[in-house]
Amino acid sequence: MRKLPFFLVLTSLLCFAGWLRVATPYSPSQDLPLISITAFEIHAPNVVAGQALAQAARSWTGVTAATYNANSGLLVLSHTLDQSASSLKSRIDILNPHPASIKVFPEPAGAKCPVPASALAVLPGILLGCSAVSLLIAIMLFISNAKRWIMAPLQP
Amino acid sequence: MKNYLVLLSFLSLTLAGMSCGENKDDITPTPAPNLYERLGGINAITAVVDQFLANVVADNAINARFAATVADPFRTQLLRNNLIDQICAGSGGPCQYKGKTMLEAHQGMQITEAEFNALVADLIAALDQFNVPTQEKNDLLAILGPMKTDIVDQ
Repeated sequence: MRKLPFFLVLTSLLCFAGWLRVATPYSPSQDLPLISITAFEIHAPNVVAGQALAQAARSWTGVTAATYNANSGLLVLSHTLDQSASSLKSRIDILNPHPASIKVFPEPAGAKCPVPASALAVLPGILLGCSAVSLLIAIMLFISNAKRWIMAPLQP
Repeated sequence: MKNYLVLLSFLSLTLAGMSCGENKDDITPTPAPNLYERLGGINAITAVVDQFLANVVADNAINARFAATVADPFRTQLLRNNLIDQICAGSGGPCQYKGKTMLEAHQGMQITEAEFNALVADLIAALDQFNVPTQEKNDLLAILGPMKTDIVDQ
């Protein structure tokens, strides 16, 4: 039982060292709203119509960039996460004579990272939390034990 | 009397300040704005990067390379922020690039020169979309150009 605060302090230090390793320094890009990129096959009747659609999409709320590539026939929108791909598709369908479809790119061949990017994104927070909680519990245990050691000689 | 003295000292200080202002030796030249400031700061760089990524995803010559990134919003975000940080830091802005080195990031990908050129063309199209002046465009491409050897044929 007496070794528990020691192990907790050790855990706290290890978590803190891990956090120092994976935490990234502040950059103004961290304050930017998150975006997603969606590609639509729009089957535009001609290049001008496709480019006009991209131009119109640039003024839509939540759309941060838009482009139409005549060679691929793709209208690609970069948009904030509050704009879903389906809601953008319905807006495209109003302006385009042919119904658009969301382009699904084929899975690339080769090895994949076994850890999802979403898990890696929260790792610094988990490590910092682990460090703080371990240290807090260690301090509380230490104070509790110290009280017992101080009070022990006074007891009859 | 006290108020008179305060007023007199204020006037003399003001006159001294004015005479100092006339001394041309004391005028420090305003530093020329760096590329980050000339590009328009973080918001302008973000707009260009978003347009660049949209151009890349629409480009059949290279979009297969970015398929996995586009499918995962976290990876999209990581790539976007790394690009913003790289341009921001490279142009003298208050950012720090935290991603892998270009050599590490492209190791084993066997990117061809044609793919690299397609990527550069997409970047130039994004810069043109926002009417970035030729000088700033060339300065930015000069920063990114030397990375080619670490990206192509790795």
